Parts: sequence; structure tokens; C-alpha cells
Amino acid sequence: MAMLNMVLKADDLSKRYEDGVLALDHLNLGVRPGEVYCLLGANGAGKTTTINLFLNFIPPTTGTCYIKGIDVTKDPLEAKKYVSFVSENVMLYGNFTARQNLEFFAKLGGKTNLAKEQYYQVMRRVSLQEKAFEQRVKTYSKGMRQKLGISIAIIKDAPAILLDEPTSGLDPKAAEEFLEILTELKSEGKAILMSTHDIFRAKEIGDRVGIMKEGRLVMERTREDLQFEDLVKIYIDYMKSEPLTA
Amino acid sequence: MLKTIINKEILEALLSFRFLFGTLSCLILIPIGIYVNMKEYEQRRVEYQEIERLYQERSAGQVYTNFQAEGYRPPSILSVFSFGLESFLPNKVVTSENGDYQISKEQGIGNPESSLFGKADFLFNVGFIISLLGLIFTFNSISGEKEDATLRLIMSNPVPRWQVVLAKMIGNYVVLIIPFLISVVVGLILLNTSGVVSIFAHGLFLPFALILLVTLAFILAMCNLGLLISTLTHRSIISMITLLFIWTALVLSWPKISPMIATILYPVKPQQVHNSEKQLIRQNLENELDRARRELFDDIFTSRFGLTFDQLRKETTEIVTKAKTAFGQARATLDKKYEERITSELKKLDQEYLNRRSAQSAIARNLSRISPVSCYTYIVTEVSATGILELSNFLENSERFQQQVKQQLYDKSIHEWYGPTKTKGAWRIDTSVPGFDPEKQPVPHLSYKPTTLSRVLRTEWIDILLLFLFNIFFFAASYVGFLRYDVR
Repeated sequence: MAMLNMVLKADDLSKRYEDGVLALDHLNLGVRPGEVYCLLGANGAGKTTTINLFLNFIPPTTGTCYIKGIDVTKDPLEAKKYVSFVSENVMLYGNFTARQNLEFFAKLGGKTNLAKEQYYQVMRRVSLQEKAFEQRVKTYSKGMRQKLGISIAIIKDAPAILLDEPTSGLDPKAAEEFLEILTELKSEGKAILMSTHDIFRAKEIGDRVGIMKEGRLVMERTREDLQFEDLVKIYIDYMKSEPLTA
Repeated sequence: MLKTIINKEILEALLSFRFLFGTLSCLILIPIGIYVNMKEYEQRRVEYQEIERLYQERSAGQVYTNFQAEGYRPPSILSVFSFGLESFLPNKVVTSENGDYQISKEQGIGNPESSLFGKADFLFNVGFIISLLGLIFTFNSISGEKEDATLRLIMSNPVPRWQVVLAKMIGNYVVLIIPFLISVVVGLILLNTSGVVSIFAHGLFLPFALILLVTLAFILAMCNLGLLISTLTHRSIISMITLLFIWTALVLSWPKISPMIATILYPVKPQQVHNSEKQLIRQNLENELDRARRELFDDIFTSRFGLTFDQLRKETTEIVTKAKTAFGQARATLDKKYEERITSELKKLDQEYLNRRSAQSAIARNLSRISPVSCYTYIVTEVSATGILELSNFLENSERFQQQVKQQLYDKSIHEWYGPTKTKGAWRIDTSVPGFDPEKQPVPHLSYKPTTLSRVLRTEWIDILLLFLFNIFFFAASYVGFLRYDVR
């Protein structure tokens, strides 16, 4: 795989926690601009660990993460300028309105001096209702919070987006709307790495899909490959297979 | 970036219930505390003026050379902020011709409940209530964000960790300090409009400014402590329980336990025992003096001049006059020698006792300084002249008053007596120097010199320094804790 043009790149990435658990085992992957990479895998497979390593929340045991060619461990502040993050449960400041939350995180992401209308535009783009813009977030449903979470990622306008099971717990309509937004972001050239349990949506949106098991990337398929293969069957087969040996 | 997070912290705190609670607590407790203590001060000042007036009235025209002058300590104006040891500090000194002045506590009309529960003065409100508010405002500043998962979102942005910690400290401190300062201003307005105390009066502004400065430093230390615990825990409830435990230890327990430990480590006999020992020494020396006088009497009148006691009393011959003169001179020398010896022995005993007391007090102080509340209490009480330093100051004033009365009265007395002893079988003539008129003598008045601010600073610099060091330590530890903090 040509790794030169990658916005997100994991190079021989491993993580062993203090309790000895090997969460990630020599992972190599890359995400290009305008590409959605879906990471599938059971709980504990290493998906979230991968995202945490990209965000420098934890240091790698070996290997390196790069965001736009910047070593995340060596220069985390510079690397984080080019990445947005949406978690499984977007938890924001409940006493703040959606606009206040958006404004705060936009400023953290380097977007200062934006007009109120610009925040509203982003919230309209993710299909939040107008009346919710100045509502306190503690009154929001999970779907609304996820939309606000993606609007935070949008307003930062970073070339890379990391999503940690963003559609988990969303109703089908909300999940569908969420994926539509991702498709738009993809078309804008964003490199998107999404961890998910949702095989169907991974197949639907992913330009590449990787299956992780026990910290290893055990399979990777392109959208073209998956036209001829059944992703569900592949996934279940991997899950049922014998445990990997260290 | 820093400003953005500070603004967020301020806004978040302003919208929280704790801000409402903190503001109400400050606005109610601080002005009421100042006002009530101002009224108490006013009452104590009236009592002081009344007792001085009565003393002057009953003593006028009766100021003999053996007059026992009374001096009273006026209540400290700054006691409106800290009542401190006011209930225990002596406020009366009675001079004595023999140099052994007595100090005591003149009890006013007190409210026993207030002694039982303590005064809700400014010191109490800050040391107990505002310190707790400082912790309430910061206890979950990091752990709460971790729990709410907002910390992950913040840290996914290019934000240096030091900025997060600093912003949380500044933001929460500002939100706590604003209602606090408003409540202090309200309290000061109450003080100034009362006509009893003007904080801007000469000599009061600087001590008050110092009290305010150390109060701000103390509140910051408590905020930093809350922040520190927040960076060492990952759940709000754990942070809260930990901080409540630490607050109880630092505020309620340790300052009370320290003197108890000091008493065990370095016992000092009670004041009553010390006074009894002094009395015994005085008695022994006076008995010894009596024996020496008897020997002197025998030596001069009987051996040297061959006179009998009856001749001495009844005759006025030249030889009797000569013998009396010789005895008078020799006795005066002997008395002076013994007076100096008694004074020296008693002073030595007093000094030893004070040294032991000081050593015990130093142990208690140093132990208690582990708690920022103790340091804060020491500074505020000393600046308010209601602390331990005030006891030394009162003793110095008493000593000065004794000297003043000695020069005015006691040095003017002439005691002539003849006999084997001063008390048994002697006759005496007590006169005063020519021109001394007890009716024209002014009643001695103690012009009380308060402790100067420079002296307080010389004593209290260590506590001021410690308060600033507590801040540096707590904040630095918070920063280091957050550097290692798992934000996932």
C-alpha cells in the first residue's frame, strides 16, 4: 500500500498496558484524503486504543502515529491541529447551549472570531433544529448530541477526523443522517478513520474496511473487494476463528 | 487558548448551583460576621472606657506613694475581623510597690453560647466556610470533566496541559473571589457607616490590606488543593470524599491536635504552680532578709553601740541618733541588695517559665503549620492584635506601666523603720519626698501601645511565606498530576 499520501498513518504501532495486556500488536494502516476507513472488531479488539494513540491520549509501546506526516508522540500539539474527534457518547457542557459548546470547541480548534451565524450554519448543516441552537445541551437526545459532536468536528475543518463508534446507540434514522454527513465530509477530502460495530454501515460508507482481532489488523478490504465478498460472513468467520497466538 | 478555557470555566461556574450557593454564603456570612463583631467591639470599647473612668474616679486624690495603679488593655479595633484569643488575653495590670505587678483578665458580660460554639467572625467565615467553598469550586474540575468525557474532547485539540490546569485554577478562583470581594466591600461599608470603625483611618488600612492579601492567598491555596485532588482522582465522588476528609483533617482536626501533641512532647507546669513557686521563693528570701536584718540590728545597736531596744525607742541622745543613722544606712544597703536579689530570682524564674511556654508554643505552632488554615489563623489573629503576640505585647506594656508608676510614685516614698525586723517589734515612719502631694498626683494611666505591623511581620513572615509556598506546591503538584493524567 502506498503510504506516502496518507493523512492518518499508523506505523508498526503496538500498545501494551501496565497490566501486561497487549491491546495493539504491530498495526499498520493509513487513511488518504477523501477516504473513509472503517475499523471493525469485537470489544477489546484494539479499535479505541488505535484512536487514543492517534490523539496521544496514551503513548505507544512501539511504533509511531502520524497525522499529516507529523509524529503524534513527538509533536502532539502540532499534530492535533489537523485532527477532529467524535466519540461514542458526545458529552458536552450540559449547562451551555449548543452554540456556546460549539464556540468553545471551535476556539480550542483554532477558529476564533467566528460570527454567531457561522455557528448556526454548521448546526444547520448537521440538521439540528433551529430552536435547539440556543437550548441547553442537557436537554438534548443522544442523536442531537452526536450531531453537535460532528458539527464540532466540521467547524474545526481539520483534514483528518477520528470517530469512535459514533453511531452506537443511535436510532436508524439518526444513524443514517449521521452517515450522510460523513459522506459529505469525505467528498470534501477529509480522511476519516471510524471504529464501529456496525458491519452494514461500514460496508456502506467505508472505502476500506479493516477487521481487528486481539490487537491485530487481521483483514483489510477495499470497497471494490467487498462487491464480490460478503463482509458479514468474513467478519463472523474471523470472530469465530481460534484465538491468535502472541 | 488560555483565555478561552478560562472564559469557559467562568461561564460554567457561573451557571452552576455552587456559584449561587457560594455567592449567597459570602453575601450573608461575611457582612453579618463583620457587623456582629463590630457591635461586640463597640460594646467592649464602652466597657473599657467605663472601667477606666471608674478607676480614675475612685482613685482621684488617693494616689499615695504605695498606690496600686491599674492599667487596662483597650480592645483591638481589628478584632472586628478576628476575635482570636480576646476571651483569654489578660486585659488588666495592677502595679505593686515591690515590683511584682499582677495581670488578670477582667471578665465582661459574655454570652456563654458564643464561647461554646466560637465566634462567626471574618476569620471563621474564611477559614471554615470559604475554604470549603474553595474546595467545592474545584474538587471536580479535572475528575468531573474526565467523568463527563469532555476532557477527551478538550485534549483532542492542540491545548497544552499546563493551560488546562492554569485556566481551571484561574477560572474557579475568579468566580469564587468576586462574590467574596463584594461581600467584603459590603462589610466594610457597614463598618464605615457605623461610625465605630473606619477601615481607612490612619494605621488601620495597611493591616487590613495585609489581612485581605493573605485571605486571597489562603483561598487560592484551598482552590489549588481542590485542583490537586481533582488531578489525582478520576471520579467526582472520590474527589469529594477525599477532599472532605482532607478538609476535616486540615481545618477541624490538625490545628486542635497540634497543641495537644506539643503538651505531651514538652510538658509545662500550670501557671498556678508557677505562681505558687514564685510566692515560695519570695517568702524564703524575705525570711532570709529578716534574719539578716536581725543580725544587723544586733550588730549595730547592741554590739557596736551597746544600746538596748528600750533605749533606742525612748531616748534621743546623740549616740542613739548616730546608731539610728548607721543602722538606717546599713539596712538600706541590705534591703536594696535583697530587693535586687528577689527581683532577679523571680525574673529568672519567670523567664525560665516563659521559655518553656514559648518552646511548647513553638512546637505546637510548627506542627500546626502543616495546615494552611493554621498559617492563615496565625497571621490574621496577630495582625488583628488578638493572637499570641498580643500576650507578649501586653506583658511589655505592663512592665512599662510598672516602671512608669515606680518613677511617678514608688520612687517618691521613704520608708524608715527601726527594729530587729520589719514586721515584728519595729516602728516605722513612711513618708514621701518633700513636695509630694497625693491629692495633686494624676492617677496613673496605661497608655497602651499596640503591636506594630512591622513586629507582626517579623513574627509572621514564616506563615505568609508558607501560604505562598502552599500555593506553589499545590499548583505544581496539580500540574505534574495532570501531566500524568489518563484523559481517556
